[in-house]
Order: sequence, then C-alpha cells, then structure tokens
Amino acid sequence: MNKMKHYLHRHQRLVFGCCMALVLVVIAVLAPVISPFDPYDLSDEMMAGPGSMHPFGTDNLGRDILSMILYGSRTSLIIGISSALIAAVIGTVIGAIAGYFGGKVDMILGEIINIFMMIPSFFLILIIVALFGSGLFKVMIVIGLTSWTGNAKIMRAQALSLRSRTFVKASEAVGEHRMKILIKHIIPNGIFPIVSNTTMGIASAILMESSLAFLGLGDPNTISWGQLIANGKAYLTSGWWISFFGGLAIIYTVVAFFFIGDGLNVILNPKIRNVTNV
Amino acid sequence: MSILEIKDFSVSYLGDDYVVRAVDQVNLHIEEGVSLGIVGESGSGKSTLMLGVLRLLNERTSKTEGEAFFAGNDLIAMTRKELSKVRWAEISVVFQKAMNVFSPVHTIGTFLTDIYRVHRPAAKAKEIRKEQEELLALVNLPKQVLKMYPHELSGGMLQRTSIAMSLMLRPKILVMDEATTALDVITQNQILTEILEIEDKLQLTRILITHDMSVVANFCKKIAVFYAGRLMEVGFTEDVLINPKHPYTRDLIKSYPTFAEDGTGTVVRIPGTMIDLKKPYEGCPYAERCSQATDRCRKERPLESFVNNSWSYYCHNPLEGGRADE
Amino acid sequence: MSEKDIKSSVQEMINRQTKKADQIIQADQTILQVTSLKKYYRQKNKRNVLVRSLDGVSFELGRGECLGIIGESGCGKSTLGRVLIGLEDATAGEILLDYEDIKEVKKRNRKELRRKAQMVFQNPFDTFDNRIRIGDILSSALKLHNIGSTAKIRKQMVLDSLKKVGLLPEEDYYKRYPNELSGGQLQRISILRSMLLKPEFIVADEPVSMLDVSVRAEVIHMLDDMAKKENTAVVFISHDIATTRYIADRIAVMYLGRIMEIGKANEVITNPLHPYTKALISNCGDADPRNKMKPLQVKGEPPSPMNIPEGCVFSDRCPYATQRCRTEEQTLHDFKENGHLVRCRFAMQHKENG
Repeated sequence: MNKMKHYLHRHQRLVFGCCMALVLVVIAVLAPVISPFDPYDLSDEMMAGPGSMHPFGTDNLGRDILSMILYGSRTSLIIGISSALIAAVIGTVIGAIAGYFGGKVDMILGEIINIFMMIPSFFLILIIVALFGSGLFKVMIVIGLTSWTGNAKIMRAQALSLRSRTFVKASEAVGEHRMKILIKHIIPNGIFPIVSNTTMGIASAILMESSLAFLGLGDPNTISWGQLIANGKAYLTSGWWISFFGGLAIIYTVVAFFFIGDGLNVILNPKIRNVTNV
Repeated sequence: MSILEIKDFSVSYLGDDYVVRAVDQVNLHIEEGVSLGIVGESGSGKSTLMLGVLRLLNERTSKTEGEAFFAGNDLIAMTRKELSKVRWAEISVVFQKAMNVFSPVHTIGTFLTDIYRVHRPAAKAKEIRKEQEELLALVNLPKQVLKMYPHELSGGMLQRTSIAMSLMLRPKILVMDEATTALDVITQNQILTEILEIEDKLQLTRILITHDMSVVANFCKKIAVFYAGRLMEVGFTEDVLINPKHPYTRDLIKSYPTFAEDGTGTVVRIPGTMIDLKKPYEGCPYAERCSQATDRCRKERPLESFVNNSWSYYCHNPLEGGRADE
Repeated sequence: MSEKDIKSSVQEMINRQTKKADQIIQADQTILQVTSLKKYYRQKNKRNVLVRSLDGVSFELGRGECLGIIGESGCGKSTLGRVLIGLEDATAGEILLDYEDIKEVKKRNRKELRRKAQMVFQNPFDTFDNRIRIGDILSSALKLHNIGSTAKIRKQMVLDSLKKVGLLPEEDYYKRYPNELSGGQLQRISILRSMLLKPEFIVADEPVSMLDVSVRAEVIHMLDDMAKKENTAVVFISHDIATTRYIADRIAVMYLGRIMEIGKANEVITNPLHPYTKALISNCGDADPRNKMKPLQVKGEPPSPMNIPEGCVFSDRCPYATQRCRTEEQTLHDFKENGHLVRCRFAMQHKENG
C-alpha cells in the first residue's frame, strides 16, 4: 500500500494522463449511449447558446454541440492512435536497420530520413489529400507516413549504442543471423523511447487531423473536432460556443497524451530515471 | 601520531525498501607518514569508507555514523564551510577517472590557472606559472604540457596531471582511489615510484585504495583488508601479508597467481559469493566461505584483537601459521 | 596443504605442461595457422592517417593448446581476437583454420565458422541480454547450430552441462535472468555457451579482468578443464601475466601490433629474451612483500599505433637501444632453436650483459 502511494506520488503525471485518457476512451466507446442527441440530427433550434436543453449549445444547422464532441472523440482517437502506430512501426524498423547495419545502409537510410524531415509535411499532406480525396482512412495513412522521422532518428541512435554492447557482439559470435539480432535484441532493448514518443505522437496526430478538418480537407462525412471549429469560424462573434468547446476537447486530449508520454519517458529512459532516483 | 582517526564509522546506503550497510563500524588510525593500502574486492566498502569520511556521498541516499578526526577535528561534525577548507587543501583525492575532469576545449594550463585563482585570487600570472611548472616537474612532466589539450596527452600523463593538481595546495593526506588501476603496469609503477619520492619531499601521507594486493605489498607500509563493509585485518604489510591472522586475508593472497621462483604459482578459489548486505546478519560476514568457521563465527561478531599495537584483526579463530595455514 | 605440498604440486604442473607442449609440437596437429596478419583502421576525421592495429602477426596453434597473448592496452591483442574468430575482416594476411582459409569458410557457410571459432568476452555483465533467461540463451545457441533435435532434448543438454560445471541447482540457473547472477557465474555461463558448440578453438578476451580476485580462479579452472576435455585450443588474451602463465602452454608478447616474443610459457616468463618482455615481467608485483619487485626502467609510454617508430618498434623506449635498432626493422629469430622466437637481434647479447 505504501509502495503504491510512493509510486503514485513519483509518477503523478503518468497517472493523471492515464486517468484523462481513460475518460476519453470511455466517452468514445459509450458515445451513442451518453449523447443526448444524434449529432447528425438537424433540429429547429439553430445557433442556440449553451443552456439546459443543449449544454454546449447548437450550431448553425441546429446540431447539438455536446453530442458532436462526444462522437468526435471517436474520430480523434482512431486517427491519433492509428497514425501514431504507423509512424512508430516505420520509424522503428528504418531507424533500427540504419543504426545497426551502419555503413552504406545507414548512409542511404539516413539521407531518406533527412529528406522526409526537410519536406514540410503539412504541405505534403495537403497535396495528397487534395489529389486523392480525404477519407478517414486516407488521412490516417498520410499522417502516419509523414511523421515517422522522429522515431527513426531515436531508434537509429539507440541501435548505434546497442550495436557496441557485448551481448550483441556475443550473439554475432555465437552465429545468430543479423536480422534475427535486430528483432531479438536491438529493437526490444531500444524501443522504450519510441513508446513515449509515440504517445506524444498521438497528440500531434490529433492536432494534425483537426488542422486538416479546419482547412476543410477532413472527411466531410465524419464528425470531428477540427471540422466543428471550422464550422464555427464564420460565427465566432455570434456563436462562440461552436468553436470553443471543440477547441477545449482538443486541448484536453493533447494534454492527456502528452502527460502519458512524458511520464513514460521518465520511467523508461534510464538516464532521466537515474537522476530522479539517486 | 595519528593524522586521521576513524572511529566506529558506518555508512549505509538507503534504497526504496532496503538498507545496505556498506561500511560497518570501522576503526582505523592512519599515522602521519605511514602510507596505508586499503584492499578489498568489489562491495567491500573500501571506496565508500573514504568517500564517507570526506563526506562526498549523496546525503539523501546515504547515512553516515561515527567520527573521523583530522588533526583533532571531527570531519563528520564540521559545517560545510569548515569542511571545504579541509578537503583538497588538507586531504585531496585522485579517482580512477580523474582525467575526465579536464575540459576538452581548454589547455591544461588554462585549467590549472582557473583552479589556482579560486584559491589564491591575488596571485600574479608569473607566480602561477612558476608554481604550475614546479607542480608538473614534481610528477615528471615537461612544462610544455601546460600548452597542450587533454586529448594530446596519454592516459598516464593525464593521470599524472590530475595527481599534480591534487598536490597543488600541498595537502597532508593524498587519497588515491584506484587511481592507477586503468593504466599499464609499467606506467603504474613509474607513477607510484614517483609518488614515493614526492611523499618524502612534501611529507605526505598516502592512502591507496585498490583491489590489487601486489601494489600494496610494493608501495605501502601498512595494509587494511576489507570485506563486506568491515575491516578484517590491519597492520604493517610485512606482518599481514607474510603471516596473515585472518583467514580472509590468507585466502585473498592465495587467489592471486604469483611468480614464485619455483614455478607457476598456485591459485586458490574462495567458494561461494559475498553475503547480501541488504539482509541483516549476525557474526562474521566471511563465516559462510571460511574454512576456519565455527558456530561462534555465525553468531557472535568478532571484536578487535591485537597482535601488537600496530597489528590487529577481527576473527574468533585466527591463523597460527599465516600463509601456509590450511 | 603445506608449503612443501604446494611446491611439489606446482612442479608437477610444470612437468605436465612442458610435456604437453612437447607432445603438441611433435604431433603437428595444427588447428590454426596465422600468417602476416594485418588490420589497419582509418580514422574518421583524418582519413589519410592509418591506425596499424595489427602489423604482421604470425603464429600457429595446435589442437587443444592454450596460447596466452599478453601486452599493454593498445597493443592490438583484442583486435587480434576479433579478427581470429572472423568478427572483423583482416586487411591482409591469412588465417587457416584446419588448413582452410577462414574467408573461404565464411563465404561457404558463415554459421560453420561461428561454430568452429568461439569467443568469451571481457565484460560478463554485458554479455547477455537481460530480458532473456539463462536457459533460453543457452538452448537458443544449440538450436541455432542444429544441435539436439527437439526443444526437450536441448533443455536436457543445457541442464546437464550446467550441472557438469557446478552451477547448481541447475534447474534454478536455467530459470534465472542474467542480472540476478554474479560476474563469476555469468562468465562461467559465457564459457559454457561457447563450449556447448564444441568449437575448434576459442578466443578468451580478458575473461577475468573484470571479476573479483577470489572468483577468478574458478573461471580460469573451468575454461582450462573444459578446453582440455574437449581438446579445444584456447587463445587467452590478457594483460595479467601471472594469470596467463597459469593457464597458457605458450605465451606471445605483443607490442604495437606485432609479436615481440613467443615461446613456451615457462621459457618466456623465466627466461625472457626481449627487453620489452623483461620490462613487462619485472614490473609485475607479487603480493609477498619479501619479493619486492625490481622493475626494469623503461622510458615513457607506448607510442600511438598511428605513429609507429622506424626500425625496431620498441627502440624509442628500450634501455639497450643502439643506432642500428632505430633504423633496422627486426624479425622474429629462433636463437635457441627450441621454438622460443624473439624479435630482437641483440637478445642474446643483453642476456649476457644481465
């Protein structure tokens, strides 16, 4: 019990972030149950301010903002988690290969990473979405494909230092295949910073999706927070609540995942961990 | 005359849910001009002892008990300010990785000057330079070293420079904590031989912490053998290393391969591993591995027994025949 | 054991070793032939500077023989170890394993080379991935080389071998993680893993230098016993001369990427011919204060392998060096015609002068 208390105290951020995210997940799962209205339902009450009937008000088409936000959490979570995972997988594999194999492989992959880092990714996403349309699935893939470079850099550095460790050399000396060493030793031992980086990546993917929706490049058929803000843009003076609550939801989610990522970083990164423990 | 007197000294490392007794009630008198070698394996507390005495340990994660008198003043009871006057000026330490203190972007000269200015703010540039050259000459380094960068010096030269630096304020005690371990034997012997001369010249008392008994046999007048945080035996090297009273001392001596004239030497293994210091125990920590152990050894902590006033041991069943005793 | 017993047992050991060394030479069962092996590195920022880590190393190793390689840090002894087992490729020269170039073996079947040439590393605490149990580490090495047909058989083999080397209770060790074991235990497991593959030879790179003195003997004995039993040749790399003498049949002394002296262990230690060997041995202390060392003084520290002196590579530090030493390159000579080779033309003269 005492240990638990100690743990909670030391990892406040992580615990706090997890609680916030848990609330979000529950909302996303139970959205149809807890929403007071169907978010697609156009009611007669247009532009109603926050009140007892509509706690967060309604938009210009008479849709209930609260219900839209509750349903929007689904979009945000799906996009955030999937694209962060895509980025994690690509980044880990490319980074680990570059760092472990070194030499020419590293040089080529290193340049590819650099090129992807230099391309203004938002601009790239804009072009792709403009060219190929903007389904939920496409947006997800595009965000994932453009945000893996950070993970790759981290994993490459990890692999570089793991490569010189004795147990990696020893596995080579025993006769283990290099690809197998990569999977068995390099990635599992170097993955921890990727885990925390990916949680933070969820936050930035959600922001990215919102920005796309705000610019009108999101999936028009799904409800998302970015879209909500974009809708409210025209009515900022007469109906502030339309954009306001959507913005609040985004901030809440981003903060939650940021806390988790930061907390995980403290636990998983031995350098920081030692500083806090000694 | 005792220059450093360590009394009932203990250091505990505090973990989340455990306490490690790294140094356990150690009594040690270090006499002026009598170099002492502190020997032990990893986990014996040999380094922790001196770090604890000089209060160089993290006070949040370790607890120090007991007294350590330097020139009549208890280092443990001193204020930080008083202590800072003693450390380095009176007692200085050279660590194994001492060469890492040199910043790669500054020359050795710049580095030494900066430190010197902290302690003698009024000194003139010419004086400082003269002093520095003298210091380097003391450790057989040419004055050109002052103009060089750390990466241009070899490991031996860097360690010599850090020794010179520790002698800057002419301390009374020099603690060398595995300071020459990482160097090659030839360089190590060169440096230690030089230190013997410096000791005479500066009236320095040296405390050498090492895992290598042969270094102590060749370069120290007295030896203190540590095991599991406790002092096992202390005395003049000629006494302790030829006629050890404590079984651990004998076993440790025998685990070194030697160059006996008549052949390959013998190597004896000590069975088992060191006890876990996280768990409390009674009696002698060496009892489990000792060929001499009796029930008493497992129950009752051995007290200090004296052979003469400079040679003592902590054992219920001391050896009679020394090295050859089986 | 009394002092006398120790002396007689020591004498016995010497006899045994000498006899064995003779046998090896007679039987001509060479497992490893190394000829003018070179390994050069290029520095990262100064690409035109060559670091000559190995500069023409040649020797032969008999089946079941233990060759000790001693030298100070930076003499190239660790590089030699890595090149010998094919972890790194040589710049020039030839390594014949069982009369076949290891480059060919590697090309044909990389795994076969790995099985035949094994290595024990210096740092036992870093030799194993801490996430994997000891049992799984050992069985996976067997599986890799198709030793033992089923997982059950392999497990039994691992358990048997743990038992055989005295890591008891073996079931317990099988289940434990590397970070729960001490350095000595880990190093024994490291040796065990190498020996499980029944290699032709094994390179042990400073296998005990990171261990406490009291557990070193155990590790050395285990390596020695297992190698003798399986007739595996050992290349024992160390800076600790006393330990090396204890295990090695022959000793090679390295300096700046070359072998300065090579011969039977006792010959080299009790009767060193090269001034460098003399200096090295005379600088090794004894834990007995009655045998104070009388170190042979040698100037300075070894030059960097980027900047090797002309002539004899030791000439700038050698107390006996003459003008000829500084200009003439030295080669290995067998003055006594007993396999005790030395890279110094004047070796026999120093001897007479004391």
